[in-house]
Amino acid sequence: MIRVLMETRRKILSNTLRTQPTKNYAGYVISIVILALLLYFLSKGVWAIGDSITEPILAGILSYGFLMIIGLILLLGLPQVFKHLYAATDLALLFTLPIPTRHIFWMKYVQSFVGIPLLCFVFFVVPLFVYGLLIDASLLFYPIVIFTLLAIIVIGLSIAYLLNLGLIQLVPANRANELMTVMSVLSGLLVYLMFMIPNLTNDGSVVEKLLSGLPLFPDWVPVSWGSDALIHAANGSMDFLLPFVLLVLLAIFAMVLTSTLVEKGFRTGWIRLSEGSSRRKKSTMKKSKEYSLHNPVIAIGIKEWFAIKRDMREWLVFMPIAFFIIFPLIGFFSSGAKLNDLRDINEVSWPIAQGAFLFIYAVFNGPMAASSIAREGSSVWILRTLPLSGQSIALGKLWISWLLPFILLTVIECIIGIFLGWTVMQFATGIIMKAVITTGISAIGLWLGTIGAKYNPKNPQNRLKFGTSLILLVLSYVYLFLAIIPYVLLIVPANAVGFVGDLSNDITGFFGAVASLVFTLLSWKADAPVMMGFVGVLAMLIISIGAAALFTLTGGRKIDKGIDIEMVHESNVKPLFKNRKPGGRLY
Amino acid sequence: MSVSSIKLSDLTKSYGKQEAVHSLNLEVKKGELFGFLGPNGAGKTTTIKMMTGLLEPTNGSVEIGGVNIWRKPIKAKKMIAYVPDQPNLYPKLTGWDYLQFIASVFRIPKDGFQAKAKELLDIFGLTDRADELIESYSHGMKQKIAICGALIHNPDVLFLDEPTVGLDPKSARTLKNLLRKLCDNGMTLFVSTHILEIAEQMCDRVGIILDGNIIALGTMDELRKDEGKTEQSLEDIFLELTGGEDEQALISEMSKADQGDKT
Repeated sequence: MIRVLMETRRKILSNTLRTQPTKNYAGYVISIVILALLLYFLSKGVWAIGDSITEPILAGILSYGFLMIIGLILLLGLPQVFKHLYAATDLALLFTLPIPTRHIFWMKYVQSFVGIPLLCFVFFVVPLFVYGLLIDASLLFYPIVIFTLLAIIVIGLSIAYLLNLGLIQLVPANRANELMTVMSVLSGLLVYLMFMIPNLTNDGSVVEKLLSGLPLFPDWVPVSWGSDALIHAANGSMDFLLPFVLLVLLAIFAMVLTSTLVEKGFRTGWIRLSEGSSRRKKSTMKKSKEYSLHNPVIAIGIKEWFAIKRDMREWLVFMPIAFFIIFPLIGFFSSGAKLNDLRDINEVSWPIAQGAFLFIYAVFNGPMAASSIAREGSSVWILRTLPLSGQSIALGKLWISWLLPFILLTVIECIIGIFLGWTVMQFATGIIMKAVITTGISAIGLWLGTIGAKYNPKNPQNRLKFGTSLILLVLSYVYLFLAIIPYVLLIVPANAVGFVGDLSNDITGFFGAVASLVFTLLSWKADAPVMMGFVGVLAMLIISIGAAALFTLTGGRKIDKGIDIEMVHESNVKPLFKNRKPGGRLY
Repeated sequence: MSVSSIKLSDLTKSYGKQEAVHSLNLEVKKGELFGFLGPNGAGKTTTIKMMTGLLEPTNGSVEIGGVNIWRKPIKAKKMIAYVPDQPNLYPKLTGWDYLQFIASVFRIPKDGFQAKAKELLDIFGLTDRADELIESYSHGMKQKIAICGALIHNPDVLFLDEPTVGLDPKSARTLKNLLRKLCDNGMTLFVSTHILEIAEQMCDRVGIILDGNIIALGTMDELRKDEGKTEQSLEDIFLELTGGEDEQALISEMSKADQGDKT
């Protein structure tokens, strides 16, 4: 039966390839050329430095490389496996046919090799073969490379399958849509922890250890078995057998373990998820509550808030906060520093924090506002048929996408400020200044959302076309650069002019230009503090309110003229919306 | 002279060289229940989308209560409501949230809203489910809450695209009775449907569209008179006009042959 299934899969693949639009072929060719070039340069690099790599260094590189394969399969493959197991459209048909579940499972398992695992295989096997040729390795080396890589890939894939099959038992079925997000977050965390292993076991950095030829992992770690097997095989020594057999046995064990969960995790899991969407989900609203009506602009914002609040995936947009604030703080405290070191120097900590927060707002508010346009998704017709102007829609979406990050970051800022002992004046000035400045960046994001909206029901975080998101990134930094003017004039103390002057002499390029601008502004501020304070307020209003008004107006006009939301539908997965239109128009 | 509730003048929609709707001219009077019929791909939904401001006509105009919907969209849209065939609503709103949102946009007085919303939810049997997220609703329930949203502001003109698809027989009957009552109270209804029985029983006038052209227009009696067969049902007229009688004959033949095999 597996053969029939595989043959059908092959036909689907070949028919899909045959019926692609021409532009897709061009895309494939370009991708293949890029990959081939990368492979060529990688192999050339191996050829150039291969001789100078000692065995201990090679062992370290291979171990870390194998860990990287498992990490990549988990990071990119975990959500992919979820799709294969639970979101594929053919499952509804396959489960009604007299096919053993196990056969369907193995078909899906084999199917998972195409993609990241295959890419990893190619990118390791070619350089390793080149290395083998360079060092004149034993003939034994080549088949062992292939089987070792396959074993590592099987281990990685099996972990991905085990996690999926296991998690489906734990996550409530009515959170089915959010499960993919949980998978993505989990895979990210897993991989992060996995790459932390060498750091935890070693005192120095991984690169230092690697280059000094010291082992990164203990001998009992499977990735060490793989590297040992390859090194012995290259030398033609039969010592490769023990680690190689151990690795292959582990791969077989992982596959067997995975297959034991098939009946429970695969079929019943799929049934649970299929039932999930129809389960009743009560909102927290009480029946006895008086239902209040609002101004249309406020009502649009509230509608957006509900959409964000009630979908766990929407909250992923706040993930960067962890990277910008929480991780650096963990790093600070784990480095042995004490909070008292930062207290009572609020004339230094406050302006630095304000700058950091401005940066976070710049990278945060834009995407938040931009995604609010594509959030309409298949429901675009509602706003379209209601008596709402583009301005009202733009304003409604703007206020909420500005307010949410503002509240969240202000709370974080207050916590940090209390710990660092900022004054009430500092709190008030900083919060008000950032509240005003960030309206501009939100409006820019909103406007770009009206230009490049994209909606993928499976991936609601990704709501901007690639080109538009690049423009947003650039504009965010341009805006941040302009926001430096009021920031320096209102926040940075004038007596920092000497320090900044030295800095501007030392740095060149973009940051040098920034330092020069700051220096000039600070020297003006030192000469005429009151006057420059007024100029600062004026600059802040012009930049932020001006940008906010301009881009909200432009965005509103664009909504009036008509917005195309590119609807992304991945093939072979269940559509969340039955109406599978190629695109939707808001106006 | 009274103003027509809906007036289409030379309404045309082209996609490249292909014309989906050709120069439609049509007037629907206030309080009229107009049935818009046609086979798949005839141009029904395209026409409705142009009438509700979802698609911009290539040529011609749509007037709602004398207001051109493309020139004065806000003013025109204050008078209309639309229920599409696929009610893709906001999945993360509850039924109540959705009605609140629509009522807020139309600036309905709070007291009036509460009473009206409860009445509509009750009519469609949604009262117990109104606090649940729309994503947990079945197709029929989404259809019903979309209809509640459309009626909450008491529109002058209501557009319904295949309103009974997905509704259970009881809800379909309720809707039919409600629509008739609304029309009798002065609301204008423009209903696209495949179910000819509904059109025959309920509609004051019927228009049949084929390949973007209106090929028949009038009351049931007028259509029968035009075809010269006073006893014909709307289904017979529809199939004759849209060329479906051959397929119908084939199906009958197949059915006879099938029965012959069994005996």
